[in-house]
Order: sequence, then C-alpha cells, then structure tokens
Amino acid sequence: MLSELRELWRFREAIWEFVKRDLRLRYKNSVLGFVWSMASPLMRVFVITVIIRRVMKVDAPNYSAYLFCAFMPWNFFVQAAQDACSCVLLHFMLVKKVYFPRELLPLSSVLANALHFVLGLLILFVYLAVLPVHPTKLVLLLPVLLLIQCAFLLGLALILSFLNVYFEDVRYVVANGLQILFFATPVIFPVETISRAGAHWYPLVMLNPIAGIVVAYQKILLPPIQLSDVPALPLDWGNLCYTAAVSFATLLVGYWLFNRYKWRLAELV
Amino acid sequence: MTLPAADTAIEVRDVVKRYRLYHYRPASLKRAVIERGRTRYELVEALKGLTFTVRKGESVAVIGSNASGKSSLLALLARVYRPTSGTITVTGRVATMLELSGGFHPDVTGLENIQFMGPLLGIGRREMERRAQTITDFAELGEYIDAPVRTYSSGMIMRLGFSIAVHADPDVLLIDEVLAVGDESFQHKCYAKLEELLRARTTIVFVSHDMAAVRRICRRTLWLDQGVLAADGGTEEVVEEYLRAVESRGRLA
Repeated sequence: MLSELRELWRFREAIWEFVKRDLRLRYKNSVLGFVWSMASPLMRVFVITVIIRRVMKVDAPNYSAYLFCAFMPWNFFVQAAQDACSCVLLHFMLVKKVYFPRELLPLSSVLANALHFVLGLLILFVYLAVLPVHPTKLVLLLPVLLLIQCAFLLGLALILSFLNVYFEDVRYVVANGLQILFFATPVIFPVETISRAGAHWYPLVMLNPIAGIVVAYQKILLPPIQLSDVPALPLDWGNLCYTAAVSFATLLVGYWLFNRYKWRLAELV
Repeated sequence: MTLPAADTAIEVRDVVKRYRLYHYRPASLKRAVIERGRTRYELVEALKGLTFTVRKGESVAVIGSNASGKSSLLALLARVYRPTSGTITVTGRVATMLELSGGFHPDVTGLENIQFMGPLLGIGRREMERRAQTITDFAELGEYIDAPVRTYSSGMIMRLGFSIAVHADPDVLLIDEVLAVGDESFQHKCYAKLEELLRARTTIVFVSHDMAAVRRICRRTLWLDQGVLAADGGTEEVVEEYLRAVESRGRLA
C-alpha cells in the first residue's frame, strides 16, 4: 500500500485539478453560485428553527445556532457520500484513456466537499459572532474534528465509489438511507433530549460515527444546550475517541478494498 | 524480475489478457440479492501470451484484423488495464490517443481541458499554460478554444486530443486508429509531426488499418492475429504477409 501512496503523491497536482474542476462545475464560475448553494441549507435551518421554536415549543435558547452547527457537518456528510457514489462514473472517459491512480477520484470528491464545508464554516462563524454566541476553548479541536470527519468520509467514499460501479442503485440506497439516518442523528433534536426516551438510547444513537462527529461540532463550538428537564451534556471524550477510531478504521478498510478492485473499474465502466 | 535494458522503452513479457464478457450481470443491488447465481459471463482471451521489446526511438505499427487484440494491447500499454498475467514495463512519459472523445469533459472549455490534462501527463500547470497556444494553433481551433467542448465536432475533438498528446513531450506515444477522422491536410500535418517526434527519439506505437500510413511512419510492424503475435519484423515483409493472409482467408470465405 505504501507504493500506492507514493503514486498518489506523484499525482498531487492532478488531485488539485480534479478538485478545481469539481468546484468550478458546481459553482459554474460565479461567486453567486456559491451563495446559492449555501442558500438551501440556510433556508432549511431557518424553517426548522421556526417550526421547532414556535410550533413545537421547544424551549432551547439560541436554537438556530445549535441547529446550524449540526446541520453544516451533516450536509457535508450527505453531499460527500452522494458525490462519492457517482465520482468514478462521471469520469469514465478519463478512466478509459489515461493512467492515473484511481483513488484520485473519490479523494478529490471528498476534498472538494471539504473545501465547500470550510467555506460554510466561515459563514457559521459570522452567524455565531452576530448572535452573539461565544465559542468555548474547545474550538481549538476543530481541525482535529475536521480531520476525523474527512478520514471517515474518505473511507466511505472509497467504498461507495467502486460499489456504485458494480451496482448502479447504490446511490439510491445511500440517498434513502441517509434520509432515514437524519432522524436518528441528533441534528434537529439536541443530544440531551435522547435521555427522555430512556437511558439506554444514548449509547445506541452515538454508535453512529456521524452522530458522534455532528454532536462534537456542537459541543466544541457552543456551550451545552440548557433545557428544563434534562441535564446539559458536555463534550463526550469517550465517544470522540471511539468515533476517531471508527473513522480511521473505515479509511483503512476502504483504501484496502478500493485498491483490490480498482483495476476492474475500467473494464466495468 | 530483471530490469529492462537502459534503452528499452517498452517491454512486454508473456502477457495474457482475459476479459469477462458478461451475458448477464445483475447491475443493481436489488437484482444481485434477488437473482443470486444468475450472473453469466464468458472469459474472452484477448491476448494469449505476447512477448516483445521496443527500444527507445523505435516506431512500431500494430496491424491485424478486427478483434485481434490491438486496442487491448494499446490500453494495456497505457496502463488503463492490468494484464491478467505477465508483465508490461513502459519507461518514461506516456501520451495516448486511444479514442475520439479524448477524455474531455463536454461542459468545460477546450483551454480548461488542456490545462486539466497537464498534470495527468506529468506536465506542471505553468508549463502547460505556456504550451496552450501552440496546442491550439496546431489543432486549428482558433476562437473555439474558449468554447465548451460539447460544441466541438468529432474532428475538432480528435485534433485537440492529438495536439495535446504530441505536444506533451512524450517518451512513448500510443496511437489507436483515430487519425482517419481528420481531413487530408490535417493528416499530413500529423504525419509530419510524428516524423519530427521520431527524430527526437520518441517511441511510437501506432495501431492502424491504413497500410500507407504504417509504411510511412513505422519501420517495424507487429501483426496481431487473434491475440497472438503472428509476425514481428520489418514493415514491408510483415505487411505483405498480412495482406496475403487476408486475401487467402477472403478466398476461403
């Protein structure tokens, strides 16, 4: 595997070209394009906030900030997973014409989404500053959390990208699965409320590494949410270690699997 | 494994290539689960054990009837596929003209496609920008270079692909039978450029059905007959052997 990594390093300029192309096609060469792609999640945050605060009468202060904090990494996750499914098929003409390490495709797909996410984070910081909500000292963990999330997404992308070449409906399974997973992940509802359903639900929900990552973003950027009937939860270090381990394990497994099947891709595509 | 000699550009040793030709493959997870065991495929042996060596600066033609394995061989040399068994060693920068689409993205302009291909061919971004004008001029694209590739005709796409490949300073140039699409004057320009590259000691592997082009560019010819190397030698003799075989097979048919 080490020689494969060296090959990847040799093609580092090509990785950047792929990322640029992905971003350019996404934003169609305009600054306004980026604004539009941010508008959708922003609107969703706004609508959900109104419903949760006014209609369902959840009493959390600054709820929109918590929602926004969880929504951004969730969106990154969903976009990256879906883009990973199609990344090899999208470039099938190149795959059949030129040699390059095929891992480049899922890698550049995740990197492009990561860049988009980081830009979104800047907007989040502006929002938090305006509210105003002050981040805790834990904000220094942000790059670490980003690294963990990227590791996990990369591993997932490596697996999904070649699976979708073999089975063309993988991206529909992923899309639908993610919609369901959304409700099982503490994005709309604060993680503190899980204990309302019973003490054993928390470890179950947090078994999902996405949940671990999303909640961690909330915990390092904002103070724990204060609700009337449940205790406020600080950052769960144990869960963070578990999530990191799962993420890097996914990366290793994904990389190994992808390397095993990558030469067959050109023949199937 | 012994390393190839210093002036070897391409070394092919006992290469076998088998493909799975699927008669039925459940292409979705749903089907894969429901229709377990219904996958039907046959193993097609495209190359049945090839061995040959090409020295730096040689120009080699590969001829043969359809389905003889020529395109498979070229794709293997380009490292698009991996051989089922045997080894292929290609030294130096490889540029290819394997199919008309050239690997270009249709929604992106010609110029951006040129810049994109640079790092894939091992040329830095700044260097590729410097060569962009030369490439555009050779391909005779003019203003179209700033238009998305989907507005190009197939001839324009071929010209762009060929132009990029020959201006990439390749050590090895692999050309599949695409040149026929260009008009007379462009074909003339292409052959002149190939001759220029040969003088610069570029190794060229040229797959073609056009015997005149083969005779003009290549001094050595490999005749591939149904995956087997039927002949390997000077262009004149091999081409004659091939034409005689085709004629006699035609008489039998």
